[in-house]
Amino acid sequence: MADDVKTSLLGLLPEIILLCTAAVVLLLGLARRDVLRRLTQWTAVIGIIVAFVAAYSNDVQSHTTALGTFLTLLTCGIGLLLLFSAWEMPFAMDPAHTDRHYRGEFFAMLLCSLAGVSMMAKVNNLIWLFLALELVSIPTYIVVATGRGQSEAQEAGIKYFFLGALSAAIYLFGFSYLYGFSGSTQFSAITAVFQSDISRHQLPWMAIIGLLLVLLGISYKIAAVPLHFYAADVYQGAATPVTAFLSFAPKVAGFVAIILLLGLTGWHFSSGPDVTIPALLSVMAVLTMTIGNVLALLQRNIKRMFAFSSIAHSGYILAALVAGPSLVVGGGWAHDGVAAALFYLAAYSLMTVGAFAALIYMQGKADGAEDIDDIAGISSEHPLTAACMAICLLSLIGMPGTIGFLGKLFIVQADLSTGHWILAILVVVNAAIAAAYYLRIIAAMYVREPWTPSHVRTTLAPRFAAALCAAMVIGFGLAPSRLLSDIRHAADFMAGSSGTVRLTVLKKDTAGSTARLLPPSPVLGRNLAVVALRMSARSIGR
Amino acid sequence: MNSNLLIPLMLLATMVGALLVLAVPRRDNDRTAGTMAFFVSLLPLALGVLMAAHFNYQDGGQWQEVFTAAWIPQLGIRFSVGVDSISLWLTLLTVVVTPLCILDGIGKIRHRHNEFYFWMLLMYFGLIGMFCATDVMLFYLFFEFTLIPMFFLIGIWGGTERRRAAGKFFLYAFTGSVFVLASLIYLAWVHDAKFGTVSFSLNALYQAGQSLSLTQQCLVFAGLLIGFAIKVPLFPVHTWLPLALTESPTPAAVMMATFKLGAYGLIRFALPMLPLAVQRLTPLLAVLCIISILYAALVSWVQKDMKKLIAYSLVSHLGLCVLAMLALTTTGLTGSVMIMINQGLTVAALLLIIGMIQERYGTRNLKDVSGLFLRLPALGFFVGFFVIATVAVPGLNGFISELLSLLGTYVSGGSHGGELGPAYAIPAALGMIVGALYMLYWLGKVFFGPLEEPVRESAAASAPVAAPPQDLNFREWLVLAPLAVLVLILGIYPNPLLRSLEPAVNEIRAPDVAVEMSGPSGHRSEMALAAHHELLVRNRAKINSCFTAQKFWPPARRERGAYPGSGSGTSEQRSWRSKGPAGKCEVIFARLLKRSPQVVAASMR
Repeated sequence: MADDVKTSLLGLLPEIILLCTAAVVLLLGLARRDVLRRLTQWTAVIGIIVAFVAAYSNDVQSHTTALGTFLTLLTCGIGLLLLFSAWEMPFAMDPAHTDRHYRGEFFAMLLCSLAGVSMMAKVNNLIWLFLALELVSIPTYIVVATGRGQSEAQEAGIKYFFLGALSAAIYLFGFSYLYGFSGSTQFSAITAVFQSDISRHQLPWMAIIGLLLVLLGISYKIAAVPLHFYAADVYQGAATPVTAFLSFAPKVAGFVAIILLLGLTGWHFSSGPDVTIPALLSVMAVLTMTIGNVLALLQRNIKRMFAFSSIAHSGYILAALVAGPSLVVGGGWAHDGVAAALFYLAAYSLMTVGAFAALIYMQGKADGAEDIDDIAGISSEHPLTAACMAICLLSLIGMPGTIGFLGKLFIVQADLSTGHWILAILVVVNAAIAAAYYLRIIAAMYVREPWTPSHVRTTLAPRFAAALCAAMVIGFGLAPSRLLSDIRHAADFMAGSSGTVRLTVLKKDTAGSTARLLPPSPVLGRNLAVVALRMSARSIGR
Repeated sequence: MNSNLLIPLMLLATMVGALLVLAVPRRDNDRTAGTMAFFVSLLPLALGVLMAAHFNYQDGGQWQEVFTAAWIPQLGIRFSVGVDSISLWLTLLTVVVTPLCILDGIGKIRHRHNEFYFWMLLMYFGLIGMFCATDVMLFYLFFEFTLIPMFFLIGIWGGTERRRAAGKFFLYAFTGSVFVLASLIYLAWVHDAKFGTVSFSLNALYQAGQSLSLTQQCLVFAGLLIGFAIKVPLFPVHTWLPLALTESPTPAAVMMATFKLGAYGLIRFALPMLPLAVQRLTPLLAVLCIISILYAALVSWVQKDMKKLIAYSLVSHLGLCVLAMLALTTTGLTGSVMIMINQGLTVAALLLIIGMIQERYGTRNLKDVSGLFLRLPALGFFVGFFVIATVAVPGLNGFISELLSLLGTYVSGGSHGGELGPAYAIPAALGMIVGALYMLYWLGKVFFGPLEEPVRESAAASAPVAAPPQDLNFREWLVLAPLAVLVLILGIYPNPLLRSLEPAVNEIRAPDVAVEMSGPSGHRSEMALAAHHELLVRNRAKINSCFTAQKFWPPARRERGAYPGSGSGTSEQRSWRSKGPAGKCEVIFARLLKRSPQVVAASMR
C-alpha cells in the first residue's frame, strides 16, 4: 500500500512541483517589499522548468502513461511561453501603472491552472477528472476578472464565471449518469461495464444521456458549439496574456477530458453500430468550425477574431476525434484520430500562443492594438515581431512547412481513412475560409502604411516568446519526427498500451481484470483501464 | 562534384541568398540588395546549365539527377528531387528568366529593396523546388510556398489596387490547393490500404490512382482540377489573373505569367495518375479550354490596359496549352510543354517591355501613347520581335509550339489515341487568329503611326516639361537581349528540345493510352465501363419514365413513332428522330465521344 502511494506520488511529481511553486509565488506576491514581489516571475519560471525536467526523468515517466508525460511536457513548455508573454501582466493589472502595486499573485493562478491541465491525463476517476477540470478553470475566472483594470474585464469575468459554473454543473450531472450506469466512479470499472455491454451493439440510454451531458458541458471548456457564445466577449474583455492563456489551458484540458471519457466507452464507433456519439461529434465539429470561421471573417477586433478562430480550431479537433483511435498499437498515422487530435492540440497551442505573444508585444503600454488598424504597417518598425506573427498566422492558415499544415494533414488523413470524407472536405473548405481573415492581419502588418505610431514596451519577454514559438512552428513543421513518435506513444494509450508497460500489466492483473470493484490504487486502476481499453479495442477490431 | 547534389545546391543557394539579401540594411535608392540578389540568382543558372550538360536526353522520360533523403518517415514523406526532360526544361526556363526579372527590378523598385529581393529569391526557391520535386508532398510544399512570396510581392510593391489583388490571388489559389491536398492525401491513403506502404512518392501515387475505379478517379480528378484549373487559370475561375497580373510590379508579374504552375500540375499529376477519369472527362474539359481560348481572346481585343491585354492573351494561350495536353497525343503533349516554355519566354519579354513603357510614360493605356517607334527604336524593335513570336510567325518559337498543339489536337481521336479531334482544333485555331489580330493591333497602335506622348510633369521645378524619355539603357538591353536570342534559337532549331521531350511525354501518356487501347477486354476498363453502363441505364430508365409519362409525351404521338418524316435521312438523323429523349441523349453522347450512336446504344444496354 505504501508502495502504491509512493508510486502514485512519483507520477504526480511535476504537478506537485507546480502547485508548490504556486504556493511560494502566492506568498511572495503578497510580500511587503517590492523586491520580493518582483521575484515571482523568476520563481515561476524556475518552478515550470523544474517540473518540465521532472516530467522528463525516467523515474516519473515509468509511473505515468505516455499520454500523461506528453501532456505534462506540453503544459510546461507552453506554460513557460505563456509566462514570458505575460511577463508584464503585474504592471498592466494596475490601472495606475505604478510599481508600488506590482501584483505577483497573477503567476500563482497561472501555475495552479497549469497543474490542473497537466494532471488531466493522470486521473483515473470521475471525481478526480472533475477536480482537475475545476483546478484548470477556477484560476482562469480570477485572472479574467482581475487581469485588467477596465469594466470590460469585469464583465468578461462575470460572464465567464457564471457560464463556467453552469457548464460544470452540466457535466457533473452527466458524470452522475455515468456513475448511475456503472456503479462506480473508477474509470476501470466504468470501462468494464461498457465492455460487457458491447455485445448489445448499442449503448444503453443512461450512458448516452450521461455522455451527451458531459460533451455538452465540456464543449464550454473547448469553446465549441453549442456553448461557444461566451468566447468572443471573454477573449476581447480579458487582458491579452489572459486571452492567450484561455486559448490554451481550458481547451487542452477539455479535449483531454473528452478523449478520456470517450475512451471509457471503448470508442464504440470505430466500427460499432451505435452512431449516436459519432453523429453528435460530427455535427458539433461541422457547426463549430463553420460558425467559428464565418464569424471570424466579420471581425475587425483582433482578439475577437482570435476568439472565433479558436472556436474554429476546436471544430477541427472534434473532426479528428470523430475518426476515433487507431485499432492497433503502434499503427500508422492514417487511422488515428486521437493522435491527430493530440498533434493538433500541440500545434494549435504553439501557434496561437506565438501569435498572442507577438500581439502583446505590439500592443504596448497603452494596451491598444485591439483593432486591426492599430497594427497596420507595423512590420517596418518591428520586423522581427511582425515576422513571428506572420509565421504563426501562416501556420494557423495551414501553409506547408509549418506545424499547422501537418496538423491539418493528420486530421484530413484520419477522416478520409475512416470513411468520413465529407467531414474531411468540410475541414479543407474551412481551412480556405480561415485563410481570408488570417491573411487580413498579415496584409495589415506588411502591406498597409502605418496608421498610428505604436508604443512598444521595453521588455523583450513577449518578443522572446513569440520568436521561440515561430521557431518551433517552423522547426516542428519541417522536422517533426521526434514529436510524432512522442504523440504516437501518447495516442497508443487509447489503442492499447505500449511496450513493456503492457506486458507487466498483463502479468499483474490476469486475475482481476474482470472484477468490477478494484482496489483504490490509482496506478493499478489505471493499468487495468489500459488493459480493458486494449481488449475492448481489439474486440471492436474484430 | 556529385551531380546528384545539383538540385539541392540550387535550392540551398537561393534560400541562403535570400536570407543574406534580407540582412542588407534598408536604405532608399540603394542598389546593393538588388545587385547581390542578381549575382545570387546566377548561381542556380550555372548549376542549371551544368545539369543540362549532364542530362541524358535519350532517357528523357526517366528521373535523373535524383537526390533522395528521408524526411518524415512516419508519413512516408521524403525529400526527393530529380528531373525528367519536362522538369529539366521548365527548371531551365526558371533559372534563365528569374535573374532577368531581378535585373529588371534593380532600376524599378523604389522602396524596401532588401525585402523585395528576399521575396523574389524565395519565389525562385519555390519554383525550382516545385519543378524538381518527385515526392508529391514536397511538390505540394513548394507549390503552396510560392503563394507567400507572391502575396507580398503584389501586396507591397503593386499598383493602386494591390491589396485587393494580393488577397484575391492568395485566396483563389489557396482554396484550390486545399482540394489538391485532400486528393493527394486520399491517394496516399489508398496506396497505404492497397499496397501496404505509406508513401507520397510520385510513383506510389500513380499506382494508387490507377488502381481506383472510375467514380473514385473522377472524384480525385475533380479535387486536383479545382486546384490546378484555378492556377492555370481556365475559363470560369480565371478572374484573379487579370487583376493580380495588372497590379503586380513587373518582375512579379513576369514570375506569375511565365511559369505555368497549374499546367505543370495537370501534366504531372492528373494525366498519368487518373487515366480513366481523364478519358471520361476530356471532352468536357476541352470545351472549357475552347471557351477559355475564344472568350479570353475576344476580351483581350477590347482591353485598353496593355497589361490586361497580355493577361487575357495569357489565359487564351493557356487554354490551348491545356487543350493540347488533353488531346493525349504525343504531338499534342509535346506542343503543350512547348507552349509552357515558349510562351513563357515571350510573355516575360512583353511584360518587361510594358514595364519599361510604364516607367517612361507613367501609363499603360493604349490610348495615351502612339508611334513610340520614333522615340524608342530599340524598344520598338524588341516589341515587334516578340509580338511576331507570339502570333506564331514561322521562324520564331511561338510557331512551332502552336503548330504542334493544334496538330496534336486535330489528329487526336484517331489512331493516335486521345478523344478530341478537328472539332476541337478548329475553334482553337480560330482563337489563335484572334490572338494575332489583337497583338498586331496593339503593336500598330502603340509603336506605329504619329508620335503621341503623354505630357509628364517634370520632377524638377525648373523645367515645366520633363525631358523626353531615353531609349533602352544598358541594363534593359541586358534584360531583353537574352530572351530574344532564346526565342530565335528555339524558333529556328527546336529539334533537340522536341526530341528530348518525346520520351517524357510518352511516359506521361502511357497509362492513358493503355486504358484506351485495352478497350473492353482490359480489366480496368471493363470495370469502368460496367460502372458507366450501369449509370447510363439507370439514367435512361429515369428519363424515359419521366418523359413517357402522360403529361410530357402524348400517347398518340408515341404510338405513331417519333416525328413525321421519320425513316429518312442519315442513320444518325434517323436515330435522333426515332428515339425518345433517352435516345436523344445517346446521340448527343455519341457525338460528344464521336462514336457511332449504335455502338453507344449497344453499350448502354
